[in-house]
Amino acid sequence: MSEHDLEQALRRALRPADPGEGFTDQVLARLDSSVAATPVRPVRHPRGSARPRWLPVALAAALVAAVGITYWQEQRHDRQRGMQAREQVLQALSIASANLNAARGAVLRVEDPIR
Amino acid sequence: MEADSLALDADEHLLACARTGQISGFRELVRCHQGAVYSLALRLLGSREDAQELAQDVFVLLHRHLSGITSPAHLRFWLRRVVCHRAIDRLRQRPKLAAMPLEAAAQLEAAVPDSDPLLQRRLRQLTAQLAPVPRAVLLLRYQEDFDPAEIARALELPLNTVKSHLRRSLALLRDQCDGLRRAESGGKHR
Repeated sequence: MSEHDLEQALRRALRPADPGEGFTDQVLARLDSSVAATPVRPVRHPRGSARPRWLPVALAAALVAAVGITYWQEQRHDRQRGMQAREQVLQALSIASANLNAARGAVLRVEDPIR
Repeated sequence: MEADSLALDADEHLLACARTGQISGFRELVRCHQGAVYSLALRLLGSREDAQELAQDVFVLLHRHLSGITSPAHLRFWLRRVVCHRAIDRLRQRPKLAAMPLEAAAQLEAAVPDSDPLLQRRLRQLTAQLAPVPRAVLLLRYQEDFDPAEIARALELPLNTVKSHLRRSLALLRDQCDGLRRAESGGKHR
């Protein structure tokens, strides 16, 4: 069977069929019933129905995230302040040590002038 | 060609009437397209009841979306796209064993007498055995005369996928039909 013959046979085999006499009326009846049912539907409170369900969850998540970020920033500042204080103490100790060494040299020179 | 343009003109008028809320215009639109929509639904779902329900759903949906339909060509495309998507969705929700519609689709006889009723019946059976997406591709091509680009747009598939489905389905159908013919001629010779 050639491709053309097969395609023609398919077109003949797949011709549209009629859904039956009452089909159009059934569609229109469904339209009527859906139109009649429409005014009954809006029974919910308008403000309640307008608010999306995910809003409270999103607000709670945003609040938790804000608290978490604030806490983390506080911790970071504390750590930074601690590091700065440590560096200042180390610097002060090194200055004091240099001064002590200089004083010890001076004392030794006074006690033993030949040196 | 002339008949097509006359049909589109008539659809344009009916569409305009239906958009203004005239139920007679909408009734005629349903009459014009119900055969195609119902046949697509039946050949995809394989059950007359399901096909009737789906086809009605699609027309009720059309009534709600009439303002968004811009032309008769858009209407034709919209109806076929929606019925295919909804039928494929329903088939995916069904259990596997129930998704093998053979009899209803095979018995769906065309209005015009066939030149080879046995071959027509066999083709309808084989079409019904295809997976949902290749079946929708084949139906849009040979029932609705969509070209591959239109099918790709309607089913939201890449063009090459559509062409590949068509090629594979035609090869399968040809093999099966040739097998049937060989079996027939073998039977006659005995």
